[in-house]
Amino acid sequence: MNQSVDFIIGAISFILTIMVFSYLLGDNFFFRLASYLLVGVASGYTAALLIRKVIEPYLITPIIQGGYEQWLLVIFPLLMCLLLIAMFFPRFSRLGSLPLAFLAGIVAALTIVGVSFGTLVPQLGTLVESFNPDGLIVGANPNYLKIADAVIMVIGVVTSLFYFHFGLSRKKTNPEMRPKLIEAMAKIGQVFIGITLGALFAGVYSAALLALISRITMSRDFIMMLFGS
Amino acid sequence: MSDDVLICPHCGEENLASATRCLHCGLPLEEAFAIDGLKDISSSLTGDFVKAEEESLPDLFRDLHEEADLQKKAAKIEALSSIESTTNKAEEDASEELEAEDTIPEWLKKIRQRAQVEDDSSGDLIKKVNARDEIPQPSEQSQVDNEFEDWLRQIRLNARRDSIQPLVEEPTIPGLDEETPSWLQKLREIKETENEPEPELKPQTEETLPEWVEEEQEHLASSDSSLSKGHPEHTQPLQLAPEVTQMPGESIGLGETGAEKIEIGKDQTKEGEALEKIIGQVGFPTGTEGKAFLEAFEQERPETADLLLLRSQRDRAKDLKDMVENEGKAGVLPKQQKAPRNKFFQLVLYLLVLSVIALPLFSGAIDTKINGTMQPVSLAFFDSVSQLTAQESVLIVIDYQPGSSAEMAAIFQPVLDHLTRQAVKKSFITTYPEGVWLTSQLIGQEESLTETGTTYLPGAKIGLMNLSLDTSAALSPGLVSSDLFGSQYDLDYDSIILLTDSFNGGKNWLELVGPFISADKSLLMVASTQEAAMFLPYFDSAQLDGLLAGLNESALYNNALGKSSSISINRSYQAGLLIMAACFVIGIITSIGVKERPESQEDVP
Repeated sequence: MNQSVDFIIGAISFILTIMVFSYLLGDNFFFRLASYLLVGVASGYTAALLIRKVIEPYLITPIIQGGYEQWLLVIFPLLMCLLLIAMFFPRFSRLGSLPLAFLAGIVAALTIVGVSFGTLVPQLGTLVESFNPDGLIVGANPNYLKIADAVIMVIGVVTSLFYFHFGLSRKKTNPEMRPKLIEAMAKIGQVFIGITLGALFAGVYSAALLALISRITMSRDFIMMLFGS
Repeated sequence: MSDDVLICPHCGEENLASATRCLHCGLPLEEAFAIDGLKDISSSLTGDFVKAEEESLPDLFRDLHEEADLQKKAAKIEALSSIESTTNKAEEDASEELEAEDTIPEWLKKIRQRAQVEDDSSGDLIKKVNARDEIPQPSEQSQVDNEFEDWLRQIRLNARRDSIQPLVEEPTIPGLDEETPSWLQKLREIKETENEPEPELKPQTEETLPEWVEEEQEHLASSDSSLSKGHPEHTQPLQLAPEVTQMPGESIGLGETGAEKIEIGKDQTKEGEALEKIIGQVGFPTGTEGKAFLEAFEQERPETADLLLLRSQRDRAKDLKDMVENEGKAGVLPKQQKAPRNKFFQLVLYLLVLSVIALPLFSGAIDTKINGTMQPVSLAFFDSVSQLTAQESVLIVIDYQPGSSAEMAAIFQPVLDHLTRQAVKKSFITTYPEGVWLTSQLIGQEESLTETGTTYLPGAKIGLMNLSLDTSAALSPGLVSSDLFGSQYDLDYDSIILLTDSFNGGKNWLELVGPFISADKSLLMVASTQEAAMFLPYFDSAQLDGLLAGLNESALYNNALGKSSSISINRSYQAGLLIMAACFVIGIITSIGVKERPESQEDVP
């Protein structure tokens, strides 16, 4: 029984993989069919999951089985949901602004707090710590590797910040240019940003390559299973 | 010398054969005037040479010549008698006019006096002739002058008649006047005199149609049934009026009276009826026959200037109508034509790359240990997992997309084996809806795994903050937190292992959950290769206790566990990286060539 199920699932996966690979010949019906299947199945799966994992346990069950405390906790989100649903009707669409404003405000506050206390402060602390003499000097000899690492880190941080300085010069001679010092620093920062974006692109290619390898491996396994080897 | 033209001996210009004075210089043409009997012009013209020649002629020719002279003399006598009669008649007319002047009313006399003072409308030619009349004539040429006066009178009469009925000359189109049908000429007349009281237009019936129109009708009548069946639009009546006639706002006359006018563009039905009426008046076939006839006419004949004019007006009206209708609507940009690609070579290239990547996979599974040592971040990860003891709880966060599941599962597989070996208690949570399915797929790979439940944490950042504040309430739907606003925030797990393929997803955990993890608990991360570099600074800042990223580090992790790994995937991966490097080099060379082309093209004039 399990083998037959695996065979069916493997066959469907193999056929869908071939349909997606058919895009090598250009846009065609089979590729579009596979795309539509992906979107449709993902949407249906998400809707079913949200109903079962969110709406039912967080909303319906507390209303049906919960007590007074749960009612109090549920009534506010329920009201917000109803206001969001009102956005479907043009006459009451303005009512939906209230829950949207509530959500946007909370997310913005969480983002600012998270970036400040989760990224900026710790990273600046790390940058300062990199110049701690205890780490740069090992015994009586300086650790040149750590010093170079710290210097490059400082240059990279400072010049990358200068790259995002968009102020213009106040001099009348060349008003459309940034000040020369900032322009020079921005040029150096551009190098660091270019390296970072290049690393990200290489990572994207790497992920896509691994996904391709995964599909080829799956196809190989199915073909071997098909021929019984 | 030609019989129709006289050459002026003074200025050399041509004159009419009956002219007595040159129309160009005004001098008399008596030397060339050929009325015999009034003066022996021939003798002056021929001279002694002619007389000598006549004397040398034979008798037969001389008799014939004399006979001809007699006939000429008789003709001269008749001419003189007719001139005398006309002169007498003119004198009688003058006397009658003098008698009639006594009976003319005063208003008519004033008009005549004024007409003598003011210029008439006879034109420059007549004025010149009148000016020549003022030149004193020799008395011996009175008869010739009388004849000349009669000739001038006739010219004046013609000029006055022409001034009463001005003739507007058609702009001639070479090669078309003879072929222009009568209905088209009438259309031209309507167009030119549409603002004036129009003379009557004779309705042209089928009997008076030109022959070529009848032939066309007969020819089209035979094919009319097939046209109407094959093309439904041909069955519609001919509607030239709204489009073909004129621009909106202009008006057209309705033929006979010209008093009835219709504003174009306001009532298209009336416009159509008006044009149908005009077309019917000129005898042009209407309805299906007319449309079919027009199509056949356009195909078989070159377009005349009139049809081109109507077509340009129709096109302009149509453009204006489209502009008004499309006002305020979003426009659709025309599609740019893509350069044709050679799909065959493109397909061959794709298949070549695919085969290079797939070849190591089909060469057979090679299980071996990879040489090398783990990076410090990976080593820290291994140490953190090794420190977990039995019955300690680990929260495994599945935060990656299905597209990265193959890579993430391959990287996490040795960690899962390690956790199982440590006999820690595993719990799974996900913030992606797809994570529920991915977790079940991941758990199914480990046969000894007993955990089956996966919690979906909704709300993204808000859900993470809720998890940090009260883990039990966040992971237990319907459970009210007992310490919602308490000061003790701590996770109920000894360690958190985050599997992510997204920098933003991992950063949210580090920013919103990480600060609430106490120092004795660890936050570990399994990341995809593409995002590994972005998480390294968090390891330097001690926000991460360990990071495992990439297939190579995963294989080294397996080595540390004393297991061997299949390197076929690694070889395929390396082949893909080599192809990427080659493409980068080719792309750089190609881009250099592209940059130089515009500069070289600018030099070309």
